[in-house]
Amino acid sequence: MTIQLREQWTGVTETPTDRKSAAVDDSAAVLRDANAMLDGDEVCSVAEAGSAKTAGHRRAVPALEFRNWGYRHASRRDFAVRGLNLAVQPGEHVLLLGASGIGKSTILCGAAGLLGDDEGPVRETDEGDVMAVEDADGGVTEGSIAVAGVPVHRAQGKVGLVLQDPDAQAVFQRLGDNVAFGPENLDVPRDEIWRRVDDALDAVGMRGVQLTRSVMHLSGGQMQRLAVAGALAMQPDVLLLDEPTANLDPDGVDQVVAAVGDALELTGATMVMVEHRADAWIDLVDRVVVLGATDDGEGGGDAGIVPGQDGRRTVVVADGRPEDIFADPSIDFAGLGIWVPERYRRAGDAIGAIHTADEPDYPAWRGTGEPVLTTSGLAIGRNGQPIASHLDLEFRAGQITALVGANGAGKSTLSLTLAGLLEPVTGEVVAAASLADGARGTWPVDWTSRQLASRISYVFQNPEHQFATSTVLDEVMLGPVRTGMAEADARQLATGLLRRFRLDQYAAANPYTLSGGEKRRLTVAAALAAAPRVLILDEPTFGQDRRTWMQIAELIHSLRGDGVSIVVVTHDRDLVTALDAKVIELVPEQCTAEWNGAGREPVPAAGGQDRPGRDSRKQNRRETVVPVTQVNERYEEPKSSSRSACLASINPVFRLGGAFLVSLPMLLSLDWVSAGVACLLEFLVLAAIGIRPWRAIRSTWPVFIGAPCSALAVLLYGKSGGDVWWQWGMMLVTDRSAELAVATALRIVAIGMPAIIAVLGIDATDLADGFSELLRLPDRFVYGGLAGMRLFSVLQDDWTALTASRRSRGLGDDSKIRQFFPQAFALLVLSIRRSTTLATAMQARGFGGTGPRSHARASEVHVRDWIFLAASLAIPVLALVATAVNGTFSFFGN
Amino acid sequence: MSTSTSPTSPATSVTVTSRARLKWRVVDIAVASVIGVASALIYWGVALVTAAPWNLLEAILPGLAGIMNGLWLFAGPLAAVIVRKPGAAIYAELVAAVLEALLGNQWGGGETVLIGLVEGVGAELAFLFVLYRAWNLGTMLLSGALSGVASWAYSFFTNLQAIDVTGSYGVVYLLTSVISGMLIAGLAMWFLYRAIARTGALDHFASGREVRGLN
Repeated sequence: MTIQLREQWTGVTETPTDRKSAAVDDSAAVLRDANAMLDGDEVCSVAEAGSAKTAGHRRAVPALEFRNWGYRHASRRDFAVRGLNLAVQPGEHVLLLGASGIGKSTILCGAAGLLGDDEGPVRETDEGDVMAVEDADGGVTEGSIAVAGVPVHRAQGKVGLVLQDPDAQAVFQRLGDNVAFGPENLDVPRDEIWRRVDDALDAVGMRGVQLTRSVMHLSGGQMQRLAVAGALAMQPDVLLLDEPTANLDPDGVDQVVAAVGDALELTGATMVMVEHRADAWIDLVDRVVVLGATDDGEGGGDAGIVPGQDGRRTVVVADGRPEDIFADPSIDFAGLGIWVPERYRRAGDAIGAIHTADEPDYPAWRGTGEPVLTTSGLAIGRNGQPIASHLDLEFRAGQITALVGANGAGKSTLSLTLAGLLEPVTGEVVAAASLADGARGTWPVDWTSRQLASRISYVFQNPEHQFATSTVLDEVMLGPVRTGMAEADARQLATGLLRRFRLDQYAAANPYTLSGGEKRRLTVAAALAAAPRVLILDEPTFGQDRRTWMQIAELIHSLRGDGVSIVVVTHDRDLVTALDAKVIELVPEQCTAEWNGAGREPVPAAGGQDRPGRDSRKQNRRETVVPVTQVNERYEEPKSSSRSACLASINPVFRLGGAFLVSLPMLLSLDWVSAGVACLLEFLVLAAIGIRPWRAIRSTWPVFIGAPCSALAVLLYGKSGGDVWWQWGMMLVTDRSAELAVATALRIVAIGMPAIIAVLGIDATDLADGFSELLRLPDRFVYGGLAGMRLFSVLQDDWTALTASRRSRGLGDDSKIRQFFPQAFALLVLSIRRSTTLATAMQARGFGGTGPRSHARASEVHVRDWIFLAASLAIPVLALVATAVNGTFSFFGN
Repeated sequence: MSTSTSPTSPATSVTVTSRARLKWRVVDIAVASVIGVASALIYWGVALVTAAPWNLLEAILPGLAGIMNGLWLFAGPLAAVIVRKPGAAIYAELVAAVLEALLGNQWGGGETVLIGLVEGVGAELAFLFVLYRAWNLGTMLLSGALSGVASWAYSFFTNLQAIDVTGSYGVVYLLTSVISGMLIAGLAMWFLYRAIARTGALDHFASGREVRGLN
């Protein structure tokens, strides 16, 4: 495939920079054309501020209408969107296009009712309906948005929004609960909720899926279908999609497009979507709106494309059917940073192999010289479980290799193993003598962090996994300084790289504050600064508009001249074409390779399924197929919430209550009799409900560590009395202190052991349901807290990635403590960003309002729950009675 | 097709309303709870690695180990100074404690929730004293110190009943807990919050915009 594409398109690429100036000149003409087109269009509805009122009763009320709408985020000086007028008719499927930074996501958030609020005073200006209101977020709203004629903030549930990051949208651990969340927030009755859940899952092709299944093991495509189902369950009239497929592999994209297509057909909903790469969606779209910006005061006649200028207004540059818009020669799509769907591509829009005058004379897919990195008999996997084996691959200087394959096929596992960041399961990754020179052995995984940093660099998919300093300049200087370069030289090198990557104006800025494309360029610059011989990039072009995409592709191409061996992990076919890369495809067993001429004319060189071993060694091969073990469709046994079936059947709130009742009364008396009796009773009761003593001790081991520590403190410094056993300095061991020490240790066990076992394993969602329904705690806080807890597992993955990235950057040799704090800081920043996105996702499902909420799951209380409480209380009561009878009761240890 | 680009002159007057300063938004809840969750992860790790040094410090000077108590107290002041809503310190400590309880630790499941509540209330008091108006280093230090006092009081109410509170151990433990609370939960969290704010992650919050000079 790559051969053909290259030949077809060689020489016809044009860089967007060449065309940018033309775009500005053209855009006024574009605007006139667009308006002319609109005038002649019979379906044209009116959004002209003045005539909207008269037009309202002539035709159907628009499903969604922006009137002079604008929004300025609290952290920005300029409006993201301003003066937007746009009406979408019921049933229309609209694709919104425009360069990054033009405010497309802001528009969708506004349409979903997530920006601004309708509380507080509103002031109208002399301009009529343009008003500026500051909201609790500190943002400023102008104008208005109406959903079917109703102000957006009063149209709760009429609009469903699906966001880009699938992981960020799951609030609950269990699949079904996520779909039920929206209807719950709309106060839909319980029976109706589960009917809607079934229908919504059906609509996205997930009929009959196990509702209790964990979202942890879903693929990106499945997660995103789940997000669509979650939005559909609210039965919205308008479905908004914000780059719903940007993070997915081709198979995932197909799944989501099909799901949305079916759902739209079924519901007749209106759709508005933003997507940079709209190829797969183009059949669903019946209207394309191209956005641009114009300078203020020019009356909208002088449309430009430069975002970020104060006083600019958002304008519609073109609007019409896809076939008309994309065929319009006067619109400079490349200049606007827009990807034209493949079907409509003209010669100038097509992506071909990049060629520059200074490139080496050997092809990128072949490279030059001896391999710098070789794998032999390599099996890769995490936790010792191989997902692909018998990998024999070679990577040469000046070569570009693309690792491709479906999500979950193991591309990242392979690339991390190549980078010396993950232990091979079996076999080896061997560095050539030229690369390993001066390092500890020839296996990258054995090298120290510093040795690795100057030889193999890894650019992570999420740039925020990689940042380690507080300024852009330091970030680039880090690698060279770590690998022994003098500070001044490192500064000079870093400054040069920043200039080359057009980041020099941000040298003093905090890396986290850059835009997505800038962050990506910075991570590449920082990786290059350490002068690695091998550079591995994980999904370098995710979510980039056409302009930044081009910049990144050209950047990678230019590195070839430096003799770097480049490995790119990607789904992006255009990138492989542009880089003219050798392709290694990881294919799950029983699946067919997608990249070897599937659905296209056969490529003679690729000839079906290669056996890796021998064949892939041939350097004239452009494609290699590597079979990996199947990613299983799982069925999960519902997880029991306790080792004891009896305990598992108790309501979680009662279990927590029991934990208090069994432990707190014990605080009344500190003596060895009550503590001993309680311990004894507890072991008996636990054994009776199926937890043997040894098991009880094992699952509460921290208590058995804590108890002797406290006992020791009491022994040495506790209240004294009776014979003095030993004295040294402030330490005084007496009859009384020894007795109290024994009592303290026993009591810590008596209090801790049952309290831990009672709650250990409780499902957080079930506990939250109980808090909400039985204890009547406010839902906002209960479910907000629950959503935060779901991030716990995500944060553990983040921590793993942070550890790997720090090793890759030469920070892994520091002491554990010196590593811990910066890494913990990075984790906190990541978690705050994730929770901010989560809040948006939850609000998009109608969460956070003050109205009533229904509950999809009932927190049930049975007689056995009350018996459990009584039994919990009985243990300390019996123990205290025993000590009272015995005459050893000792109130608070006095 | 229904669009136009009607030119209107800019809305120059921006109405700034001072409503709902103390009302919790969803993003406040989400960020406070995630601070709790991340803290729980760190508390849990700290509990594992401090067991040995704890005994060493106790051997040097009885009660000296209290100097590590601040490592379990930072969630409250951090959440409070970031989201700036009433109850933020209590909420974050409670979320951390519930998660710790579900994971299981040496203070027992149910009891952890109680400890979290007590320490959260201690941290919260400082912000209540200033009526949620002063968000500065002084309030943070007070918050950390009060949280330390709460932690000390809880220990002597429960595990250390057998030790005389007014004796040297009790006094040393109180001093070290308060100092630790001030330094780790107060001082360090103040600078941590400033550092997080500079990354732009707190732009949704008045606290973050203040640091970045965006207000």
